[in-house]
Amino acid sequence: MELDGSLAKIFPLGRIQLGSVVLFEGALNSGVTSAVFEFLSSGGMKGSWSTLVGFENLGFLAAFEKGVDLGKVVSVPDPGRNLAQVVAVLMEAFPVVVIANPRFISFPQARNLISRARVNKSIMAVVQESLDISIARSKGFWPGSYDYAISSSISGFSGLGQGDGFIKERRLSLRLDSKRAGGTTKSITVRI
Amino acid sequence: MSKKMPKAKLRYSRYSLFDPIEHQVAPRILLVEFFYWPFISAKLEQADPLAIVEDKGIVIHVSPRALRTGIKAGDKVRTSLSVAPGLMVIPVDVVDQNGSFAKIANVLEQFSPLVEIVDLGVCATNARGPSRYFGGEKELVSRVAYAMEDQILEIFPIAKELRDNSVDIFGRDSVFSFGVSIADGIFTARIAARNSRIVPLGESASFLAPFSVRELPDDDIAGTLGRLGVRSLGEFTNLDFYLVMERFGSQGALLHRMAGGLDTSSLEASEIKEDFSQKIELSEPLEVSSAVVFACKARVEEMLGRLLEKGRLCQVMRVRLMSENGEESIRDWGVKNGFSAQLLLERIRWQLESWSTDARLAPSAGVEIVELKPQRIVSALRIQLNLDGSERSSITKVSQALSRVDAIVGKRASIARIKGSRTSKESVEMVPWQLHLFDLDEPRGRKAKEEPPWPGKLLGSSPAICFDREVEVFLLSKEAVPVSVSADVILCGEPYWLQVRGSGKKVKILEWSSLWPMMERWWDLEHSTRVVRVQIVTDEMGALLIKRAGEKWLIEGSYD
Repeated sequence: MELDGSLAKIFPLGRIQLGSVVLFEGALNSGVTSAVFEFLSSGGMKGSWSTLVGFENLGFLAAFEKGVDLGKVVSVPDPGRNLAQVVAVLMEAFPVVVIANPRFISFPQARNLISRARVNKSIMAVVQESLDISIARSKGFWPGSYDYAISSSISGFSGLGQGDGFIKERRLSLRLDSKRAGGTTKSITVRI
Repeated sequence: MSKKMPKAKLRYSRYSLFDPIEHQVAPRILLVEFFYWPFISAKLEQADPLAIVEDKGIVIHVSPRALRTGIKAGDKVRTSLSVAPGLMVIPVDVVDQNGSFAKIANVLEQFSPLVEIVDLGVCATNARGPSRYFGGEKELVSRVAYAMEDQILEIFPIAKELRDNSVDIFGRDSVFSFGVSIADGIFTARIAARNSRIVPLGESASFLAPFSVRELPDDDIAGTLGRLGVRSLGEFTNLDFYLVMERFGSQGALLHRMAGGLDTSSLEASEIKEDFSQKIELSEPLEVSSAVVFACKARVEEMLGRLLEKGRLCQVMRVRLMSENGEESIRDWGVKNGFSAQLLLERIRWQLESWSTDARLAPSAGVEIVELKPQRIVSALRIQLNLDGSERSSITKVSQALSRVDAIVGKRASIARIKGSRTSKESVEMVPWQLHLFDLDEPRGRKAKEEPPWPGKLLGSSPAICFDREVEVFLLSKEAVPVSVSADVILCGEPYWLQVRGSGKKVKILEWSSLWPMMERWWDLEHSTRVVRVQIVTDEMGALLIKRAGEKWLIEGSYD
């Protein structure tokens, strides 16, 4: 699938393979969610449906401002222990499934989901934040393999100072490790 | 006794001439269906061949004789070969599906100007005008039928030969058999066409009632209905509309209307607010159809791209071709799942070819203008594009998956809608997906942008995470003195540390924004509170949006 925008510059040939697994990683508040929005608002996503599984506190307004077509984004906020089953069902109909911090997925389940993604030609994205310190709770991690890993960090803010202005811009650094194209790494900084 | 003439029976009112309801005439559809069109266009040498058309090993069309052996569409080619030895198997790409059908549509055009090609071998037009002209619907149907027979004999020499050998070529068992019908909607008309019937105005529902739910154009839903014990369309319409919608989503709701004969989608152009039509003037008149198609390619792609950007797809497109000498050919082409550039260009080519080979109407010069006018535009949300743009699956699949997920999770999956509000949390409304799918034609997600700014709204982008459960934090100065907000909205002290309540760890604050005061519940004097928001940038926790409510600082969101 062809991408456009910032992600096109880091993905090999500007496209993402259908049926692949994308891992979004980063420390807490390091722009992982913004990276997901970048992904969902990217060119190839137009016209296709996607689901967000397990995102509880998502700021949909920010997604809307980013250009995500919210009319085609279905949110399943709390799948609980049935996460793997829910994802498997969703992949039959949705070309893009994004999972947040998968807590209840075992290694064999993950492997099953990966092969289902391949068969259905859907893209499975997994968001994996490092330990959350503000809310003391163990967040999940993805036990399976992946094809692309996007790690993000926010490298700077502009527009505000010591008690004046507001956040006008953030610099989001994205680094892509791609297993598909022979293990290449590419990074980019986006102003958002 | 004569005084008892009931007034209520008077059908017209004093205002009837101006009554808007009187003008809303239900459409009457004249429809011609060739049941075995693929076999006609495949030009087999017999009227009743034992043949099927296959696509990737699956039977998709069955000739009447093959039907009698029990083969049906959807079977595997291999099994049907064992059922009927000597079966002719025609690959689908050999069949010139619509190209020669344009010549049939031309015949219908002589009766009424706007002809829509509804499906493979099916074309329809408005019956109102012509039926008045030809003296009644019955008369019209028989005239159309005769004209169709003549045309078949003319364009297919084999048909003539067979008839001369006294074969009943328009009989029920012939591939040339066709039906002509008139009804209120296309769905009803197609069923009526099987027996060449005229369904009187407003009697669709009672006409449809005895037919099986299998007639519905959605096999999945029809199958489920059958298993639920709902066998006929009449039984289906007796079900409560809302229950049907709950169970089968908007697709089911549409089918429910259809089964009740309420599918009165007229052939006339639906209301299109924005003009998507394209007029392509070729730099020089071209005679070769492929050259014309090639010249149109870029503009066609542009037009369909523009439609898709607006979240729309075109189901019916009017193609108008004009030659250098001013002759023209107009045709409406329909595609159920919306036109892609390839499909539309194919239609243009077919129209060009049928026009230029038409004995009477062929243009005397090359084509100069190609005009494309979308006639029926639907929301693209109804139809899903796969990521590679090739295969299209229906909204049914999406609703089925979501119903299953709802059953697993025990809660409804939802879709976010944006409305105007002051805080980013309040401006998002989560709508159950069922409701969203039924409202598809009116995408509301884009409304917020035109609204005026709300007082107290944050500047810049919204936080990517908005916490439902707000975490309390302490804002401390360098000397670990709590920082509060004064009555005139000024921070008392410079914030230096951020400490999450319940954790001993302090995070350094690098920068902070100006303050946004806002009254919450200002309409309720007793409970109204002033809330002050501030954005802070920390060294380890990124950028946060925190608010001062009462005597507490709470994390509202994160600029993740």
